[in-house]
Amino acid sequence: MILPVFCLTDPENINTAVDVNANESLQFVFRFKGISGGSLSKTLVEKLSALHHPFCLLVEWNINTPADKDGSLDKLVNAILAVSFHYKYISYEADTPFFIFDDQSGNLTDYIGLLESAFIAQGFRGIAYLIIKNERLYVNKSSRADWTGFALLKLQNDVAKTYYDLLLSPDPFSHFLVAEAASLTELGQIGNEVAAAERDLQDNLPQTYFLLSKITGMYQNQKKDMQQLKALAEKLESAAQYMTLHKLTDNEYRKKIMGIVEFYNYEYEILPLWYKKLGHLIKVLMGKRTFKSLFNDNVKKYKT
Amino acid sequence: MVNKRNLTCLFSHYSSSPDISDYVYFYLASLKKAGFHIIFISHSAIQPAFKEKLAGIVDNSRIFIRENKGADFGAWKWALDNKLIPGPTDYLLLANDSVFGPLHDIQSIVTEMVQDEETDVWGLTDSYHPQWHLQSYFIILNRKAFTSAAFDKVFVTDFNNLVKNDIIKNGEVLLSKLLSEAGFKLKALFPYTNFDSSTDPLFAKNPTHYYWDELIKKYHFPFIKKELITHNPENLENISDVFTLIEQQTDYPSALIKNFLIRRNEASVRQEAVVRLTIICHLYYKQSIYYFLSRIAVLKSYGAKFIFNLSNHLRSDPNILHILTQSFPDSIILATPNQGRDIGGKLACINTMLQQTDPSDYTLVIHDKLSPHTPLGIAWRDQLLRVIDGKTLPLIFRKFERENKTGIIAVAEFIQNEYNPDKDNFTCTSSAHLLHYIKEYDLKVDNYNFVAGTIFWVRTEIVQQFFTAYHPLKIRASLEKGNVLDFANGTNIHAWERVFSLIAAKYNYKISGI
Repeated sequence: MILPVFCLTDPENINTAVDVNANESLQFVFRFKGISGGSLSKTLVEKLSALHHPFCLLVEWNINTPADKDGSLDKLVNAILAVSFHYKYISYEADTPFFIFDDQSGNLTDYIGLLESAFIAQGFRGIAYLIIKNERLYVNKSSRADWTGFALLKLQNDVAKTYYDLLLSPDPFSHFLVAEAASLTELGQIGNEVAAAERDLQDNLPQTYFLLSKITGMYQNQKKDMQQLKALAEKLESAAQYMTLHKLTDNEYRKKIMGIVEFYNYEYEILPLWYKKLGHLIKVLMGKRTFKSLFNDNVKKYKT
Repeated sequence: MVNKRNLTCLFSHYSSSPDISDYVYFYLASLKKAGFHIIFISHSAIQPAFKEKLAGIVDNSRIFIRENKGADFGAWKWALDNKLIPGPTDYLLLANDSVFGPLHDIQSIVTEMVQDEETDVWGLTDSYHPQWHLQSYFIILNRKAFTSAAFDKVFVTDFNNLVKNDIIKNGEVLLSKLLSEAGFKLKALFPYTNFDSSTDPLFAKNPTHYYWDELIKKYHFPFIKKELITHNPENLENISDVFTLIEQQTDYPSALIKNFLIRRNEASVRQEAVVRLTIICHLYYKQSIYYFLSRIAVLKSYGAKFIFNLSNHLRSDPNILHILTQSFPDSIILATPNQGRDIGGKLACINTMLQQTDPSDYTLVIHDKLSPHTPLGIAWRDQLLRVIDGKTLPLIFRKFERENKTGIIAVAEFIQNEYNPDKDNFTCTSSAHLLHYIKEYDLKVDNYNFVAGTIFWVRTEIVQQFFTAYHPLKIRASLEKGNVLDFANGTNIHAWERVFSLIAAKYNYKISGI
């Protein structure tokens, strides 16, 4: 898909989420009510764990009390952390999990810092997020700094036309799409309409379609390259750590190996053959070597 | 037939299950296309469906099954003793299924070999360890060579009763030695000296391992050793690029290798479900992941629940994810930044485990230990992994059952104690950190035994009890980032390597060794 589509659905639909358009360019967004709805339940976390499709959370932030007296904020943060550890959780550059917040109480930004600190404490670089307020994009702290808004796709509106018009707008990449559906079947239908709109574009304006697809490809490659760069940076850091150790031990190991080789050559190899054979006989008498092996190379030599 | 020469191949095969992998069919089909008349000798039974498929490539009368003894040289000797080589054979190929490939059409290679009338015996690669010889996975001999007394002398040996190293010595190495001494000309198509000018046997390397990528990229080498991907015995880091290289630079369908890796992780025989197991596994090293997964796959036969934590750099590798998800389809897979090393990964898994509604009896705490900073790393790993040997597992579960004070079971050699009662501290650089944790978690116990290497079985109730009281993610947040070592200074991570075992003692359990 040319533009990223986030398929908004409720967590109850998770079990069969993979039935809907297994195409990984469709990313699921599971709606979750923060604080007022309690922490993420055990069942929900277990269900999310079973998923093998890219997803993230849309947290409807509705915290009423500024002070967390009962520890529920702590529980919420831990539960969000746990969910974001999932290998399919959408994460930019692998170390910045992505969230969408629907700020219904108006004081989310007071708590963002808290959430970010919790993620940084777990080794992440921070979090990437969007804040939606009153169905508009309010804050963009995602890796796509060019996003200024989003288009809501609902089956009751003309999905294909909405998407098609957006693709032909002066700056289509300034928008992402949120597909809202009452059921997974509806999400599937929305996905089909989006695909149909792209096919129409390809038929009607092939050059435009080609250019838009190319830009999308470049965004994806950029994301992959950033991930690779991060992995390489970590590898480099790791190698540097081990190097400090090797600088101490490399010579030591080499000396030990050469010491063993020299010992073998100068203390054993140079001895006369008759002396060595006497040694073999002594080993047999001591029960450390088999008698037959004195005459035959093809039998078991040493007794365990 | 290449230029009207009669080519015969003695192909040695082995599989741990009564099937033939698709990569073997591919190889055989390529050999047939190159003109070889194939004699297929299997050291394992073959189910009828696979035999039928094989008959499409190999003449049914040329498929043999023999006892699993003597490896490839045993198979070839058996074929020679039973006079299976057709009379008019001009060139004899000795081959086996220890390679994936061919990565390119081998017809041109075979043509080059059989058209060179000055060379009697061709190999693809040679080795100088322990002395110069052609590596035996692909050797073509002309009629003069394979009907010679020198050749016969090699195959007088009864390979059936030899161990692997002796088969190499008396088969692979001796073959080149005796043929050379008899005056035959032996040549490697991709000689070792292309890669390393030093041929000192003490330091000579296996070229199909150490130079696998250069062989393919520079020399269009047609094979990749199976062992390199499945075991990576030399712990070569660049093997993690193998699929990318194959897909970008060769015509070979890499799915044949991936499917082989997935299939070999299938549970062989389902055990009676007497114990419920959870496996908490942290993965970090790309180069050993396929080997490691094949080792823990044995636990699938117990119906174990797997929770994997991938270090973040692994989550972007589609090949690893594909093989992991296909081999362990019901597993939970996490991916976290490298914080706390394996301890941090295991804590993330424990946090997920606590969310599960169906607790297990025993939990395996494990990771793909390699310790690359020491040459003993692989040896340590292999020793620690004895806790998942097929033969050891029933003993472990029986031990838990019979000894109700045993909380942790690990390999005995790794149970250590660093406590110094005179000074009330520990003889490790992380002593101060450890003392802090002992205070924080009220771990003042009688016995400070711990499992070095943090690979062990533990009663799940111990894990649940402790980590319900002390949140695993809070602990994880206190651990250092990156691959910190404790040689110079102590760390929270290395203190936690000890604490992990001490939590059993906190609840009056002991550590037992196997």
